[in-house]
Amino acid sequence: MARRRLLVIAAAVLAVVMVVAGTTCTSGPTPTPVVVVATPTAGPTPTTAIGTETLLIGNLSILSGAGTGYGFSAARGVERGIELWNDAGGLVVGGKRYMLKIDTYDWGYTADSGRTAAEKAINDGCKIIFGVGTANTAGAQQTTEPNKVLLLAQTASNDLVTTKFPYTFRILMGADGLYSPGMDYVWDKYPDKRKLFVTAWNDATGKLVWETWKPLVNAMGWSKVDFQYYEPGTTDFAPFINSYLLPANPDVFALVSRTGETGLLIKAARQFGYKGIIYWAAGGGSVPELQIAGDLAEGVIVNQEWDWKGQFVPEAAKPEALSYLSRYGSNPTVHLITALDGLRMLAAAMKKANSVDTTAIRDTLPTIEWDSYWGGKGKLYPVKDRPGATMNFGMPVSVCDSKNTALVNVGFGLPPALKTK
Amino acid sequence: MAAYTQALVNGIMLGAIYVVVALGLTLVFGMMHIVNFAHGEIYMLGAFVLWTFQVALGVNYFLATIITVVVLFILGMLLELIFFSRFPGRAGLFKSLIICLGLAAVLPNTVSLIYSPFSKNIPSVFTNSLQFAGLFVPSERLLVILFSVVFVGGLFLFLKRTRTGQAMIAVEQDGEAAEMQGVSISRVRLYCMGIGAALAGGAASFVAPVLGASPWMGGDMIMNSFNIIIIGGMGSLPGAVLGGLILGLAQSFGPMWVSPPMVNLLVFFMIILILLVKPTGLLGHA
Repeated sequence: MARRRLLVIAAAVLAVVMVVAGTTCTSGPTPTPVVVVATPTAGPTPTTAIGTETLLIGNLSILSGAGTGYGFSAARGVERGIELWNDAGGLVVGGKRYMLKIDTYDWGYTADSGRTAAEKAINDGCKIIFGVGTANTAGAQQTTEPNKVLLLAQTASNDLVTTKFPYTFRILMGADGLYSPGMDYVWDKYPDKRKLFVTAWNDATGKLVWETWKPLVNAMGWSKVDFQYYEPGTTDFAPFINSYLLPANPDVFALVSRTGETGLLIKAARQFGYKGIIYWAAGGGSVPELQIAGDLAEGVIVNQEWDWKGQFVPEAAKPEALSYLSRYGSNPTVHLITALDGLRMLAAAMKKANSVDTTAIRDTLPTIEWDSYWGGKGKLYPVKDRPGATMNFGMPVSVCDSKNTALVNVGFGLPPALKTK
Repeated sequence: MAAYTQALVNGIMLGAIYVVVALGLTLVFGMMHIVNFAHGEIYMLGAFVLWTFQVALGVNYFLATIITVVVLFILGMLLELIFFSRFPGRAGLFKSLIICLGLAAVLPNTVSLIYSPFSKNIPSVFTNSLQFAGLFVPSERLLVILFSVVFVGGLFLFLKRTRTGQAMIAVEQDGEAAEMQGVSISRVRLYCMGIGAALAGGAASFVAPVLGASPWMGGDMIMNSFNIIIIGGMGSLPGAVLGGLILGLAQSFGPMWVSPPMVNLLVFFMIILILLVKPTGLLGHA
């Protein structure tokens, strides 16, 4: 009996040590709230004595497993945007003041989990949903479209924002716009490196993203492009690296890979002798991920998480990004700002439509402009070669080099839509 | 030829990782008749205990590894005391299974809440790769093989040379007869669960610096572990060693012949083939 008691006491002490270490060590997110002063410019208006209603906003994000690297940035972006909206007194539309209430679900990384979470949000009463991810967006569309629920998605696939899905709008750029600036940077900086190897993870998201980006990559003029899917969930990439990457002997290794797997891919590539350029194009881009590879991640080029304190970052986006850093202790990905921008876009559309009806907002969205977090006027642009497909204001993309497992901005690129203007 | 030699070396390294995790799982099944679906999560906890001591508290890696093994040994015994001891033997199989599934769901989410859902980096003691005859052998993976040999050898020595080990084998062979000879079943179960968890913790200690620590890392490992003990034979310790090496080599050579998505198919085809020829697994007995 005494031994049992001793065991329980020892376990309790250990549990306390682990909880304290886990929640206080600086390498993990530290929730220390700070006061942030920000002024949403599109919509929310001063309080007057009119009727107030609450709109429930679905916030579906990847909060577990692979994809958390950017899922948390996106979810907290919606949370922050709603906080700003309500702090500004809500938005007056059609003679009523609308305050927002958040309804958050973890919708994982699959089409099934996306659909299930969307159904829950719709059952809760959400008519407008923010979501991040591609396979889960595709799953959610099966229920949001017939229910006329507005889905404002952060997906890189152009196939999910076509005329087939009239209630789905993208608040991110497509893979072609988002990933190409980093590739352009590599192309320009290393003119003698023209053999490319690309890998993407083998599921709906990986395939949709790669299929969207592939035409642009192929059109660049690489002397050789090799491609191979890898299995999501792989932990040891030694067989993959030795069977595919090293025999191809490329100059540039481009990764369309998830958090949880990218660091391991980079580490295995370097440990088994790959000395070429590594560009992490898609799938997250996060400092903790690079830390998995430690020193071996030195020089990896990244384009979805930026050094927000550095140059080549839009000034208008900096305050919120830096306040996130201070509030959560981790560097946000671009998905934080795209989520905030999405709420500004929504406010502008509701104001112009003078309605909260999703069909009215849908019809108004392509006609509006708003003050974007990226600087200048935000706008929904059509996607080249995809009639009916739209993307949010073509945001500039900062390209980062990793040094000492931190990110340093080294360049600045524009997506194709802005290059033509 | 160099590619095949590299694949052989990689396969042995991968197999070494699998062997130690699967040993704990098969030990607990063989002696306690518990299909421990939470074994992957116990392995994951080991990685976070190591991170707590090595990274957060700055303890030397080798000392942190010893602490992790001890902590997981205690944790295993606690699980037995709090949960599994209430449902002993084959009669409690189903209830134990439910407990394991519950733990498998609760543990990663709890760790995610405490430590954040992001992967944690545990610095390796050795980061260089040895190069000879065109082969690359990362030093940290050599350390994995070394640790694996020590753990497997230590376990077999413990079982063969100590009274407690002999008592555990006796319980595995015939629990009732062992009890009549004065063996305390409850004590054997306590040690067995502790050793199973300690093996998972040990495996985590030398795998986490190579592959990182994530709250979700247990899910993949448990799938591989079950594959191993099915190949080697449920409850057979030598079978777990053989199964681990076979799986490691299959996963290493597989991508040379088929695309990565087909490798798992190849592995499952191999398992079906083994079960058709020998339903108890390669070294299992009915």
